Amino acid sequence: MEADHDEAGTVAAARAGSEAAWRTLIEAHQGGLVRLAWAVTGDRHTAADVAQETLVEAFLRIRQLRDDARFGTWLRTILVRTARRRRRRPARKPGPQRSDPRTPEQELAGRELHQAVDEAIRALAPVCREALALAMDGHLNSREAAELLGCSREAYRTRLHRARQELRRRLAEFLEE
Amino acid sequence: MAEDPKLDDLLHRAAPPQAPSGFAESVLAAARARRRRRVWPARTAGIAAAIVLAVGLCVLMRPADEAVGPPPPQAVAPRAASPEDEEESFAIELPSTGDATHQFMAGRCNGRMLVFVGPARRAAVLGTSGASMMGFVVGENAGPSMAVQIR
Repeated sequence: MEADHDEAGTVAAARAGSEAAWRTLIEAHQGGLVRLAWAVTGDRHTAADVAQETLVEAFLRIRQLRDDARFGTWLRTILVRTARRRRRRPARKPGPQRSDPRTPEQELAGRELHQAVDEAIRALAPVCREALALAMDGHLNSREAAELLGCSREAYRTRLHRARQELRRRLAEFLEE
Repeated sequence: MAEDPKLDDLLHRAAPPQAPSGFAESVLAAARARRRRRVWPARTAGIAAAIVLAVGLCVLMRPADEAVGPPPPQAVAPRAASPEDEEESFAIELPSTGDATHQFMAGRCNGRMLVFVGPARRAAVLGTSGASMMGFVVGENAGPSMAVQIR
């Protein structure tokens, strides 16, 4: 990806120990990682924690990254593994809601939708959820996503198709609006 | 993700809008803390490895006349002045006992290198049996030279 190539210099500076470079990288990826974490877990309350854990891992293991131009892909690989690890841990009660910049009216209108979508995503099989999350994220093409998930491209597409089918069924009332 | 625009739009509307404020700072603070926690065990392991290496070098470089390994059998109440005397036996105190121990054993006494054959191997090596170890002086006086009493 072009953006990845542009980013390679910043990644090299981060590897050399520049915190300013790290801040730039975090700010560039934080939104995408939080959304990806949400889609992989179906839990908006812990999505930021998963994204943070991912970036901390990246910070500590930056020397293991072989191709600076693939930093974004590498982050997503770490995130999926982090989410899998968390899935094996016993679930914790959700903490207090993080600050949301929307107005109270928008929050009220969106709450029902959020809850329904979160529940629908959580109801998916984990492998389907991961495929859907990577497709929604849009950073990787289907070959890269399949590689990250450790399956064939056909299996990735099948999982994605199943995920969409299930979401359409569960979210029908919102899709008809 | 362009397969179903309606579903895609719904999912994007439901997605968390952005990372919480101060996210980058909290990531950097957590990363610094984790790095500190990782550095201390690594340093401790490094110091321990350096100590082990130093001790190992000291053992390897000490004078050749000092024995390496477990302490040599300590002769007590000798009934002969020297193991060179093939006719006499002497008592020896061994550092451990047990069926599997002392099948063979090398040691030094009065500046001579000795090889001992334990009761478990005596019949096979010497053609004799008994509860004591048999010792050989390796070198000019090689051959059965003494009986060793285990205390």
